Amino acid sequence: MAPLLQVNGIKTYYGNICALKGVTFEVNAGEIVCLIGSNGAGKTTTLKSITGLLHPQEGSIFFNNEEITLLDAHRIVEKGISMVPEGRHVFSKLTTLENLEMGAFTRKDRTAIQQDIENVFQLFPRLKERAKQSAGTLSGGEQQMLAIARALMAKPKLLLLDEPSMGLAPILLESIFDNIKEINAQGTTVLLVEQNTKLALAIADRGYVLQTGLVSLSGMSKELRESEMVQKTYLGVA
Amino acid sequence: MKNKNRLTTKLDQRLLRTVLPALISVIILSIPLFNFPQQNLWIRIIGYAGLYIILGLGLLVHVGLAGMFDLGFAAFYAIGAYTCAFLASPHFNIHLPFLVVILIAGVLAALVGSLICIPVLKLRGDYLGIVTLGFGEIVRMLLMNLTDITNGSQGIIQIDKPIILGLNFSNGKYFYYFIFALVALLLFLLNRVINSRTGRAWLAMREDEDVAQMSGIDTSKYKILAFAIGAFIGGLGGAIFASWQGSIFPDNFNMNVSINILCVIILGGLGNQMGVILGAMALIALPDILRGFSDYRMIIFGLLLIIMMILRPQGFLPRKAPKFEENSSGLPDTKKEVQS
Repeated sequence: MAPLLQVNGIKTYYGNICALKGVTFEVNAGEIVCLIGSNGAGKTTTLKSITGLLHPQEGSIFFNNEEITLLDAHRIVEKGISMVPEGRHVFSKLTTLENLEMGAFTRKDRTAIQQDIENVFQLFPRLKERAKQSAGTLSGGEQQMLAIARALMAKPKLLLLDEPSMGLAPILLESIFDNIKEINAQGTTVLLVEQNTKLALAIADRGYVLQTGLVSLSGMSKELRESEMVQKTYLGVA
Repeated sequence: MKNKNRLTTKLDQRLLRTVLPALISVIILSIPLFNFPQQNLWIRIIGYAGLYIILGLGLLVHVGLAGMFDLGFAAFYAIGAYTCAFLASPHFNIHLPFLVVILIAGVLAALVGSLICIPVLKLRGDYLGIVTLGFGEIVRMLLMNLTDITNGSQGIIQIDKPIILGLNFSNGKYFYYFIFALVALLLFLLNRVINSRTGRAWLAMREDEDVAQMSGIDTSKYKILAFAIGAFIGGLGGAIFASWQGSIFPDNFNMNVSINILCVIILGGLGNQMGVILGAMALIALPDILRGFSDYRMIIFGLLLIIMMILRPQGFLPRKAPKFEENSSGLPDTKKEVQS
């Protein structure tokens, strides 16, 4: 079976600066795949290239056997890819509920949207308590939950998560990562970008290591955890 | 203590949102009805403020709703006015009926608005402001220098008096009512748009453009739409101005006008339609009302503006709180759910 997402040698530039120098990887349906790497390795750029916020100059991206390389961002959402941006980015003046509705912008099936709002409330009970509160008043962890929940409202086949661990207390971290596992168990494929390598490898099936715009290593999470390079560079094991 | 404060602000809000607009409407509507000294002057002053309400509503779509900073709104106003002048005056010897002219003026302005919007889709904030500022000046310079078509700084005079359904609206009172009828219509329509899917898309765009895109909103489409709608309203305003005034000159559309309209909506409370009315009354009518103070009036006016912005930095009527806050059940309310 062809992979759900296939990224073939994409090169993405910011002006003249080449941020991705030919990144290739794939995500199979049902997997959790993580991209790890240090600052500036090109993790976020990769996600933005997939979602259409940036367009690669070379290479191609296939989703569900369909080329999406040069589609506009909103068309890609319609195809079934949702992204949770780095640093949360909720609509701070809107309520939690309205944020969720905004996530369902591409959909027109009202009753199903209602059902999905209930579903994400089940996944994140905290959000239900905060349903009428404006999102700007939520705590960091709650905002992260909301950002994930909002992305789920588009009913994505593939969920992209950009550094969900950023700025979260350790105890919240674990619960967020449990949520991610649960979302995956319910049938959504997940592509996770993380600096917290340990946590990322703990929940991912497979992983890719990005270094200065190139995939330098890939493999099953277990292999990566045991690889000397990953241990040295990202896990801090001497 | 805290509770009491909240109560008063709530009362305050309700007062500002319902009683005040009602009061203002009554005053506006009754001015032409009763005879009092200098009535015609008042009709002219308040009518002029009415025109600025229309312009303010147009700019509100750009700045307040779609979050697109526009410093060149006078351009659309000018396009509307000159369209009217071309199509209803001895200048080209064309005399179309007013209602046709005003529609063409709006459509033409909307067309130009969407065209100017396309190349600047990627610009945000201040940069967009600079581009629109330049655009406004270009339009004025064209009007000034395309003398063969626009008659340059001589302007166009003897513009036809508006005749609607056989009724001659050159009578100040009729035209006054026409302006405020249009204001009411625009308020109604804008309200509908704001609470529609389009309004939601604008809201998301204005809050966070990237996330809006990632939520599947075609930001380009909604930006162009916002620019077209705002420009359309500006065009209507221009046509009204031209036929009311009877003559127009390029200097009627200089940068000051754009800034004034922007002040109207900022003073009124960015993003609130009712605020535009208060803003226009304060900003446009007040200098005339203060005429008694002769030379000092602009000083007093400026001081009032400063005091006002210190006391209510969000404007007279801040943007409405989201509707959901009234829904107390905590569960999604099916009626207000996702407009599609």
